[in-house]
Amino acid sequence: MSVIRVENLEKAYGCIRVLSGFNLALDEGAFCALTGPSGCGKTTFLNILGALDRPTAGRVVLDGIDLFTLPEKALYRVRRDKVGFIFQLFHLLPALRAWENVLVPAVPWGLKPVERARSLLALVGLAGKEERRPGQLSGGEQQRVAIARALLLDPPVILADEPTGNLDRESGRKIMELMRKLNQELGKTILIATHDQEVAGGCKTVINMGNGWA
Amino acid sequence: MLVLALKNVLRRKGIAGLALLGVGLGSALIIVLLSLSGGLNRNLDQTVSALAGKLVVSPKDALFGGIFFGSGTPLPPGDLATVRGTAGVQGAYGRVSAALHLPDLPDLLLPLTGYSPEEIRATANTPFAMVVQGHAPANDREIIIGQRLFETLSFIGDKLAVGGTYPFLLPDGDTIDLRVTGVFQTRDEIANTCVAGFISLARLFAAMPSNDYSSLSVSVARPDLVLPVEQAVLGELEGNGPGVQVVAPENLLNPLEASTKAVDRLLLAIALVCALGCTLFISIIMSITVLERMREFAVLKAVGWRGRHVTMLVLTESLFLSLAGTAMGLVLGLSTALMAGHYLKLGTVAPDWPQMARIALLAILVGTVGGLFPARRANRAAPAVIFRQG
Repeated sequence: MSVIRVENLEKAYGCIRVLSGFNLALDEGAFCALTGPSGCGKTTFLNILGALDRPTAGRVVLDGIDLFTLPEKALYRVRRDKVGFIFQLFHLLPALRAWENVLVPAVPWGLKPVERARSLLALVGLAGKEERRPGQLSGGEQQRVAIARALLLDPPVILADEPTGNLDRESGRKIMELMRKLNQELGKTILIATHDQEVAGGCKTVINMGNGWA
Repeated sequence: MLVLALKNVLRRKGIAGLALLGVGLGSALIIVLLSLSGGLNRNLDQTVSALAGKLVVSPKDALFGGIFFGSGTPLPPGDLATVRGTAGVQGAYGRVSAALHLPDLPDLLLPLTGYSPEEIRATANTPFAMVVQGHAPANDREIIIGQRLFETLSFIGDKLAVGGTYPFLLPDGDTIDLRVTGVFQTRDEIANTCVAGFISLARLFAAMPSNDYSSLSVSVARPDLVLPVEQAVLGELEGNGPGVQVVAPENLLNPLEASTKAVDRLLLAIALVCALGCTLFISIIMSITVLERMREFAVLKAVGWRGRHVTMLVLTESLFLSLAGTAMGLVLGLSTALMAGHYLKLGTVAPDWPQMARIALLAILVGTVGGLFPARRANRAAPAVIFRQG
């Protein structure tokens, strides 16, 4: 069953068309790389899929929800429940410790699944480093914390925008090993936007975006 | 959310310190102003209530209703008997007022009020019964000083110490030594600005015959009888020797009450301007931090936070800064107000807990209003736009 289905997706910024006639279907448990040159619309597509941006035209169905039939105010539920986002620059909150950063998605809902946060940090290989702040972690470790944060509320889909873009090769490999582990052991559907051929080669499927179409 | 807001505030120590300083100084100023106002009102209320139900009968040509310095034609002893016989009068006693001069400070005039032994024995309202330091005079070569006058003299450096003996000038140019035996404090702030002694001593300085008086202090049975007794006494004494005036001392304070109310309004206006300044200050400080943290807010929205959660986060941070600044201001303002009262002998500074509670509520309002604009700005963080900017 398709957990992600995209039909005739279009996105334009003024007269600049970034995505045009984009179609995609991914089954549950897919582990897919989205490749293409810089400016081809990879990040734009991930943003739309993650309900961070709206398309100009087209349809996106994520885990059975037709995203853009929902009002803007309701899209937060998609971001909270259906998608875990991982960024190139990690975007951890510097004031918080690692386990507190993992808990950030739960904060406004009055939830405090501390044990789950700690176990997720152990899952991503950071057992014993829960009390460290981002400034006390390496780039690879920070990205692991970001991955744990993305998993906190157990979303079915993980979207990663250049997750190894800010890391050295060795750290990048370790992150990709972790992503494979999440896909195989937890059954997460993972879509990674990357221009790195080695990263793309580590995925089950590769989608090549050429100027806004696939 | 509270923990996150607190950690965010503590992370930016420079900005937080600036906000604390601004709000703290503003709050301190508000507290000192309101304490001053409260003290003025308290003193006035106390004096008015001490003077309620009292009248002063004095010569028509006496200044200040005959309360100070003994000016005017002395009242004969028959007037005292007449007033005592008037319906509604609970008690009446003759007093003599005079001015004390120190030989080496000819410009300094100390008002002296002389009390009769009869009044001293019969009532607990004279300064003789309200000594707070030292003891009451035992003879007519001893005096006690009102608390307010004592503080003023200490402040200007011309101290009349308790236990000290000082020469004072008599009308004929001679001097007489008087010993200061104590300091008194009554509920009447006017009396507290005077010196008190026996009536025979005051007669010396006023050069007054032995049975005459500068004024008659009259107590009325009930406050609502003040006006009828005033009219009755005027009627009884009309045509008896020199003309008289009957003054209800609390009425002397009416212009002062009006001035105090005007000062109150001015101080309140200044306090409100301070509060507005603090609000703007918080708003500016929070706006600076929000602009620096737009990417952070975009991430929060990307992981599922709603716009109103981001708004609440910023408002909570603003509130923390405002409350912390006000707490600092409370400590600073209270200690300044108390020190001003003690060291500057102002005596009119009166902070109180209901007022502090109102100021704390004002702080919450300042924090909330000041944080509104920056919080709205943070709410508008659009993740796609911000992440695209790099």
